[in-house]
Parts: sequence; C-alpha cells; structure tokens
Amino acid sequence: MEKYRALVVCGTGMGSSMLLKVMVDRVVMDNKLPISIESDVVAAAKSSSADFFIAGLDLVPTLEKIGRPVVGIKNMIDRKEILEKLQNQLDAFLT
Amino acid sequence: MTENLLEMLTPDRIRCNVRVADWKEAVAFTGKAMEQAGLAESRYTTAMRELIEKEGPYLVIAPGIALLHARPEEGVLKAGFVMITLSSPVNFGHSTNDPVWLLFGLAAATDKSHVQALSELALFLSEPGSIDALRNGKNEEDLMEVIREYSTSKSNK
Repeated sequence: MEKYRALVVCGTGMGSSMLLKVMVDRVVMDNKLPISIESDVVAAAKSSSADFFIAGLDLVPTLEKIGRPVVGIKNMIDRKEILEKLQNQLDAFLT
Repeated sequence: MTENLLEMLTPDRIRCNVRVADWKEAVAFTGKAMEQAGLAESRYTTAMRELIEKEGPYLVIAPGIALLHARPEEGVLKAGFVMITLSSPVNFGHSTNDPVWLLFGLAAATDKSHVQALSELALFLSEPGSIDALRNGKNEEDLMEVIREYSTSKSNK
C-alpha cells in the first residue's frame, strides 16, 4: 500500500509538535495506517514534500494557505480524535 | 534526562494550586520554577512568552493543558520539565482549549532523550484517568502520588 507523508508542525519544532508526533506515531503504529511522519517548524512546512500537515487547531489557518490538506487536532493527547481525523484524511485521499 | 516519568517529575519540579492572574503570570511562574529546578536561565522565560505572542497559543495542546517551551539555545541548562496546576484557570486565547489549569514547562533539548521524555509524558497524559487524577490533586504530594501510581502500574505490566 502506498504511504502518505505527513508533517507534524509547530512553532519551534521542539515541543507540541514533538508531543503530537509521538501520539500520531503511536496511533499510526497501533492501527497500521499507511502514513509516514516527520515533524518540523511552521516555516519549513511550505518547502517540505509532505502530502498533508498535522497540527494543533490554532495553526490550521496558517497552514491552509500552503494549499495542501491540513489535519487540525484539538486534543493532542486524545488517541481517538487523532485516529478519526487521520482516517478521514486517508479516505479523502482515496476518493 | 531519562525516560522514566518518576525520575523526570521529581518533587522539586511540581507546584500545586498556584494562583496567577493571567497567562503571562502563568508563563512567568512556570519559568521561575524551571529556573529554581536548574533547568533554564531566566531568558528562557522571556523566550517562552515571546513564542506565544508571536506564534499564538498553539502550545495549549489539549483542553486545559499547555506545554510551554522555547528553543534549546534560548537558555536551556538541562533537559527536563516542570508541572504546575493553577488554583483558578487562565485563558491563553486558544480557539477551543481554554481555560488552562495544567501547565508543563519544557526545557527542550535536541537529543533523543528529549523525545523519549516527551513520549513518556504524552502516554501518561493520554492514559484514561490521568488528567482527572491530576485535577483532583490538592497538593504536591497528591500530584506525586498520581505519577507514582502510574509508573508502578506501568512497570507491573
């Protein structure tokens, strides 16, 4: 199965994006989703080759300007929310 | 920094029921606690505040929870974090996750242990019941007990 590339984004790439990456990694692994994950700062998002971005809700408007899909996570420690939103994004890619 | 939560969140890195007027005071208090714990210089506090002013309150990672941090080169002395609960929650201006009552001050590092520590913290927080147990803590000892119980239950698995 083809893997989609996701970039987890935050302002410094050191804190919340790292935490979110840990959680997303976990969810992807537990559910065997076809997604590979990296993390970086907002400024690096545009030049990245990611198929879509994952970030906290407040960064979504900034990332949407890049013109690639953005998955906004409200609660970064809620595995259920992360799984649901990743699945929706995968469904969107397939249709 | 080790990957064991119990070793990372030692009693000197925990403050319970702190009273602050607004998010700036919450950040200042968190920075002070990090200074006292020997994790960061005072300029790290300024950097944490400026990051929020510049990039917005995206550090409010979940309803009621903020993960404060700046970059490693902005005054980190030692990787680690502090945990603080507020007696009355404050707003950070987040679109969905205000008000905040639980704060983590993270002294960010560039090495792998940093990621291990964060993943340990994330898994602890995502465990059902962890947040409620922290919310019910009346003092530092209660909060320590929550961490201790979690660490024990995990090592028994």
